[in-house]
Amino acid sequence: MNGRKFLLDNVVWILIIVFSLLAGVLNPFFLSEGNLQNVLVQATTLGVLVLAVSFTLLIGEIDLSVVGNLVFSGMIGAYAMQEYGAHWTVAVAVTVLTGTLIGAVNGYFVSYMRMNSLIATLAMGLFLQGAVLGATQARTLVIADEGYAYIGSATIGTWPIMPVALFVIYLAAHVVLAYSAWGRNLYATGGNRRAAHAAGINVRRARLGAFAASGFLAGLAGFLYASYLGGVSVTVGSTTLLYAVAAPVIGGVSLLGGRGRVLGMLGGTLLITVIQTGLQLINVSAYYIQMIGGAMILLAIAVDAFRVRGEEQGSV
Amino acid sequence: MRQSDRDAVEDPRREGEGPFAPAPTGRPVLVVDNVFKAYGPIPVLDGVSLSVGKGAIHGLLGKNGAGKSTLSNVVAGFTRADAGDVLLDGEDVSSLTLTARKKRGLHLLSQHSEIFEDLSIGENLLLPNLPRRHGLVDWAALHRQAGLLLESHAMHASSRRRAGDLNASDRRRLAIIRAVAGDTKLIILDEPTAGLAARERQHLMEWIEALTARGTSFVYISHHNDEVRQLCSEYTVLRDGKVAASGGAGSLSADGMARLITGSDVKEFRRVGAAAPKPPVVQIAGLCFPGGGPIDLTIGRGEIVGLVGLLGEGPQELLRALGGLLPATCGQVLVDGRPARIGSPAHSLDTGIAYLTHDRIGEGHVASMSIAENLSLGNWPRQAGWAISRSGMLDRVRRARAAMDVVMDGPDQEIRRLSGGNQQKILLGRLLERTPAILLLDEPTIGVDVAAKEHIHRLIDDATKRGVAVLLIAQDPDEMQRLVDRVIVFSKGRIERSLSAEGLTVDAIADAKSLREKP
Ligand SMILES: Nc1ncnc2c1ncn2[C@@H]1O[C@H](COP(=O)(O)OP(=O)(O)OP(=O)(O)O)[C@@H](O)[C@H]1O
Ligand SMILES: [Mg+2]
Repeated sequence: MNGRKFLLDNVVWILIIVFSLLAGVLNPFFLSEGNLQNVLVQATTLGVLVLAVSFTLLIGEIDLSVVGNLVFSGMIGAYAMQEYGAHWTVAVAVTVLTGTLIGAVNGYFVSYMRMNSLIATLAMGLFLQGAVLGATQARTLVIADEGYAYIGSATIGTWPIMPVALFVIYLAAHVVLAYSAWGRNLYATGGNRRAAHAAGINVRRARLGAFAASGFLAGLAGFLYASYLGGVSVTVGSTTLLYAVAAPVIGGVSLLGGRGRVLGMLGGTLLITVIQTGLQLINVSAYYIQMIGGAMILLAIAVDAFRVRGEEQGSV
Repeated sequence: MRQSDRDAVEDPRREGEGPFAPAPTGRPVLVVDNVFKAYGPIPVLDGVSLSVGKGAIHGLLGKNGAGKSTLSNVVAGFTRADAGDVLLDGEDVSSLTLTARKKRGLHLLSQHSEIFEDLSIGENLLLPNLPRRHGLVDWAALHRQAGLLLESHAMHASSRRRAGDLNASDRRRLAIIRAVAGDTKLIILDEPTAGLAARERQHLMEWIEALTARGTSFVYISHHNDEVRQLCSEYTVLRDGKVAASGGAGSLSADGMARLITGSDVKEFRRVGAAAPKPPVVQIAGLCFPGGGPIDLTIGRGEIVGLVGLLGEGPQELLRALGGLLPATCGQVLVDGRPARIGSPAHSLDTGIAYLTHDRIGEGHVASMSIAENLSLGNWPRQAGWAISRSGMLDRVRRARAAMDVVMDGPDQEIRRLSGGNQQKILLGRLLERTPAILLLDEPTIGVDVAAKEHIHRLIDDATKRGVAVLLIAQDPDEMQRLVDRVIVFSKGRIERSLSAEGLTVDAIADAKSLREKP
């Protein structure tokens, strides 16, 4: 009984192991150190986006503008260096600040103007991506600054340092969400908004804060991504947003709000990255990768639904 | 009291005595045989057996957390038992789904089962089998059928009305009719009268009793022993998941019943009221709010003032306005002589006004969070300014447990896993941790067992000794009478009159409540 619950609660990690072993059998390179590095590097940008979406899922809303926010704030940072000769540290600050501001605007729309978050942030994302497209004329902005590009390209020995950023950010998010009053207020607000309000929590501010945090993380992802690519390109994979929404759900974050652990968000991120890289390595035709990826996500979420159902028998 | 032949079976059974309780008349409708259920290491149901006679109302009694709701859920098919059988009319239904059991006429109205507020009464009654013509809903037939149903169950309301517009007792009635509409054998009612006014409660009970005439049986869960004594022909008492006693209800005295439930004598708490007038703590001057006002009222230090009035005529609205949950449109409130901001719950709490909701699930707790967190919600004990102090939270849990005898596995258990009464204690504990100047209590003992009720009364009384003022709404006139120093009677949103200490009898309070209900 308890063993079964343990298995179901950690299904993400089990799936990661199972899939890795499978991919490793089909192509031994998958289990090599080089590919492990590759997976972790790939997981970094996605992982931070996943956190961004998760902050809004926790209050029972959603932020679909994170990818638009990522390219837009990345572009602003790049312009700060190119046009105004800003130092790279200033450019990083500008990038993250831009993201936070966009998030705060989303939060204002949703929390104070009571706009629907799904539609409002979808529109915001379109707007931002369109703005980047127009401003850059679809050209890639090259970032030559070594300081800015350091975190995305530096290595210690053979190991890239990018994943360090991922783990530091996740650790910080865990501390904030599990131990801070601010973080617990998000869970309370998502779990039962009226009760949180009646208990004296400033629910509007908490909701605005969740979106601002989401924007902050999207800006951070914008910096990490630009640093890694050495430039800003508007053509972020169109599936990235879907993955960023699917990963938290795979990791047990409830779409209804109030539930979700940081470790699960990390698991969801890693599972999706492992599936993506694994499929590339085992010579699946590129045209099928998306299909199989989608099927894997469906499977993961089906297992999750099964887990929840086991817990709340009889409910519909 | 009813049907004296049933009283033959009145020797209280001791636990562990054979699997079957004695059947009162003929073949029992429901037999529960040796059911076990555990969520953690301690079993919630530890070999429970009982049987319900045909047409009987079977009282299921026990303290908060005794396992009553869990047993109901097992019988109705919401939860699967670890072991044991459930027999309906001789047929083993243990492995059937909820829906299959419903089809066989076994229904549960849970502690918080609700109706579809935005649908008409007719739709509520006939869903999911709405009458159709050519594949579309046949509205004429629907309202004809629903009208017949309502009529045959003596409920006087148009089937076209929106169900959400019904008052609390009519909602329960609607839910019950929905259950009995088909070929119903047994309905489990989990605290059907909780939160109802005395007259509504009486009506509902009489109405339920009338339904047994057509052969429907009931399992009736309630913390009001007088109801059980009035209504039930047989009873089972659960204690710590075991059957502590069972038999015919006729011969039981009120005290005896309380003793069976708690395992010891329950001392009824009666407050020794304040004699001299007290210096004011809260002064309400010309306060208006949606649904009432202007209200002028002064509450003294350590005073308990009861508010009486019909639903929607002022008492609840006044508490909500003071608590920051309804906007105050004019007037002002002074706390300790200083003007108080009451625009939101946060403001009210900051100025020392603490409101306890009657809507525990909708507005009280956050179901997905732990007991410790619910106890500290909005009032986190902090360390280093931003982090929550775990030891601070645990201290509070310890205090609440000591003060109110909360049955729980541990502080990190999700609050939704607690029994209803124990959840209520946590909510009250949250307010007391705020050390407020005034407590606004809307049904503080809803769903709370007899022993814990006295606990909570004592707790409220203790708070007044520390100078806390209390505004109290309680549907039970008896509870009101034992606790308050004076009573304010509301009518149409205004204060109509007040009853001072001398005039405070149970009858006077009950009369004041029903004053305008009489045609
Ligand atoms: N899903 C669950 N998970 C863990 N424990 C549970 C769960 N449901 C109930 N319990 C525990 O089982 C015990 C019995 O709960 P139950 O709700 O049946 O009590 P009850 O007799 O209905 O009490 P009340 O009068 O307060 O409604 C409680 O101690 C409760 O904490
Ligand atoms: Mg219960």
